[in-house]
Amino acid sequence: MILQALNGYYERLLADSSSAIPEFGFSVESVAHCVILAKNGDVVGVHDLRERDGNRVVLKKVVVPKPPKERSGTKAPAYFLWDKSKYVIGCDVDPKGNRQFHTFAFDDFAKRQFGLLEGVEDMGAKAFSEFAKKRKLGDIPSWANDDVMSGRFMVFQLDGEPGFLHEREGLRRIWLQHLEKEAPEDVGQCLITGLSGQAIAYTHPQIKNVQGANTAGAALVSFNATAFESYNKGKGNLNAPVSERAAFAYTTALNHLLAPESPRKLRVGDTTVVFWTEARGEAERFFNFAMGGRHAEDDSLARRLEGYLSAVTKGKYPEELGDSRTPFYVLGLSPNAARLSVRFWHVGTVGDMAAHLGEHYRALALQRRFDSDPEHPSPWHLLKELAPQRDSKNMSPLLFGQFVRSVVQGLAYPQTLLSAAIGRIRADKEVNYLRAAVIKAFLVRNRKQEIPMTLDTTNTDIGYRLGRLFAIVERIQEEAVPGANATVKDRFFASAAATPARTFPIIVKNAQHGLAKIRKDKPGWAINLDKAIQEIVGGIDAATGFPASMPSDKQSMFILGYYQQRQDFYTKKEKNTED
Amino acid sequence: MSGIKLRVWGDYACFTRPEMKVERVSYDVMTPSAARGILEAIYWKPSIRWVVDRIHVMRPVRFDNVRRNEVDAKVPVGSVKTAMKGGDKPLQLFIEDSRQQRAAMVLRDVEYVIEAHFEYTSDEDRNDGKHLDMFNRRAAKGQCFHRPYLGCREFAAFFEPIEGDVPVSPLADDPARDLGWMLYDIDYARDMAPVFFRPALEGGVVEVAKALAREGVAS
Repeated sequence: MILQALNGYYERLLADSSSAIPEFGFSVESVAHCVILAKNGDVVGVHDLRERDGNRVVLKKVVVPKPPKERSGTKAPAYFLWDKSKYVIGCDVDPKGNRQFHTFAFDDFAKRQFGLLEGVEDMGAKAFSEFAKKRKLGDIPSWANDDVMSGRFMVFQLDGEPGFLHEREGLRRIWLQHLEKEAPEDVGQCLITGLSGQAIAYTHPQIKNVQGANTAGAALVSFNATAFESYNKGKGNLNAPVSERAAFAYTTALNHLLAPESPRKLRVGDTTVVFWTEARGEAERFFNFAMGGRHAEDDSLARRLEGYLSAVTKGKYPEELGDSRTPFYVLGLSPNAARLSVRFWHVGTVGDMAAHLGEHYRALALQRRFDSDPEHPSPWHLLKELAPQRDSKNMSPLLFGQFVRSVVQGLAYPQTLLSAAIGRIRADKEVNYLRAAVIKAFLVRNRKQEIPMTLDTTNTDIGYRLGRLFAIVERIQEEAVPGANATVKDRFFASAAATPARTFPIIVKNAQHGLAKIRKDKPGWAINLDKAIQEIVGGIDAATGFPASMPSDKQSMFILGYYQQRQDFYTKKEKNTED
Repeated sequence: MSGIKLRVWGDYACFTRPEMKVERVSYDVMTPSAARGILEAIYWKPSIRWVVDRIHVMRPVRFDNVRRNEVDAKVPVGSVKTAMKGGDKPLQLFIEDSRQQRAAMVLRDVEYVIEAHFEYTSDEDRNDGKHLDMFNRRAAKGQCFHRPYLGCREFAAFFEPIEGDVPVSPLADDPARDLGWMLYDIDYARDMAPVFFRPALEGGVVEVAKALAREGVAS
């Protein structure tokens, strides 16, 4: 389904005249120079096609004829009507400024052009043939400076004629005829289109711009080791027959989605996620925003997207996202050496996507500690919080895929999410907004618990109550012994959550001493705290007392109770100062 | 031809798509060839050939990711032959030298009911009752020639025969779902060419024969 959906997307883009997607046998490449030819093949001049954007140099994107096979190796063939100086002049300049001559490339350039252009009645074809004939290896023409020979691509133009040489209708036709002749010999049923008797591609074009993969590109479909071969099909892609055209289509569509400036791409951990839809509307942008993609520089757009997010969190569907029944595709890819692996794949509708995002953010909603805390924390924010040292390098790649999948599809969160959160809190004893929000979301969605955003004094869950009690005990210590070296949280948080019966009698007793000290300065406040303790302890079943141990679900309630009780102190304090 | 009904289930399954078999991605549902493999594991003789008619999907389609350490090489046939002849080269493959970590997107908590019948491959041994009885008896006792599995050898399949009607799938009310082009089987007679067909999940059931007829792909 993945390749089929990408193939379908390519067909749609091709039919849409406003999108610059190349057709079969062509490719969008970054080109630096344009050589202007006279009709007799002499070079009139060289145009620089690059544009300067501040300090950045932007190469011009040109659709050029390119065979569907990747070229690689020392005997790589020349391109038709465009190439590097290594092929065109037979010489290039390395970064140190040394000139190097390439006999094979020089000869192959001529071979390719003559092979295709011989006997063609076209002004451009004749001029180009003349140009190719006039070259001499070792002779560097005056128009070729070091910049032209620095390894970037050049295209050609006929003097006084509009468009590049390779864009001339006659030459395009020649190229397409050539491709038909060059079709691979293996024939079979294509698994993307289902058509029988198709020419099967032996290799597929590379996929570029996946975070962490080789910059030259990686393969989604490949069989690059003997263990991957089956049924005597060798290392080629005959193991999975895909017609050459379909292979070109799916890779072109995927590369289009992955392009550096693409708004349909986001990075979460080591996974690169692409998504697309057929809807005209802001669905793609919205998804990008809601999942924490690159923020739009346009302020009004960012505000609008934030508005949609608030709307879906309230369970509404913003009309601006387009028809809610439009299919919506999400594909998560992560690199594995020279290959790409599929982390997740989801087919849904725009309406479902919005509803699932809404559910997710509703489950996460929790009173923030600081105003600077994000109201809608992205998956990346949340999972970074669960990584050791908060280093994105330590984020679990598996957890990421599972988490994003559960958000997009509206499924239960992965079980490992809770253990990761509790494990992190136990290790560094820090309960912050993001961690508490993750735990809350997990309990709400996976355990069907109803947890309000702020402190719930009526909650009788033992874990929750003990968490609150712990927060009060910590508070008493903070007031009684300001600036203590090792606080009760540092020493007892993990054991209080896991084995309350062993820990609580000690810390509650210590808290009574602290309370006695507070009573001297602020008797009223001491009574309040004492009341709060009485109220919580009173709610604990006297027959069972403090439980000997608590399972992870109760521990997460403990953490939530602790967080919300602490938040409650802060809120009250603010009120006090206002008074 | 009278058919059989078999319920199979397991914790994991991976019906690998051929195009993504290196970094494995499973099809959404069991393929007919995987179902055939399960039936053959329980009962098979050279004189019969199993044909899968229908696959009932009894649990929602759920995916999960796993990573496993595997090897990137096969032991060459030549080395095996040399070793058998008593050659002095040891027959070996070291995991440390050829380790490959491979990610896989697999199915979680699957359950299917396979409806199938058998056909004869020759004029010999044509006895419907015998083959049917043998299959059902073996399935009921949990006997198998080798452990049946759900797409990958390490995802063992549990099985039991179903008597009477197949229970209604919990997915019965879902809208029909196109499953795309799926591997039907390998055509061993034609140079092991893969054959694809286009099934749909309608009412929780994959009608294999119907899908084959619709696309005109003959097995």
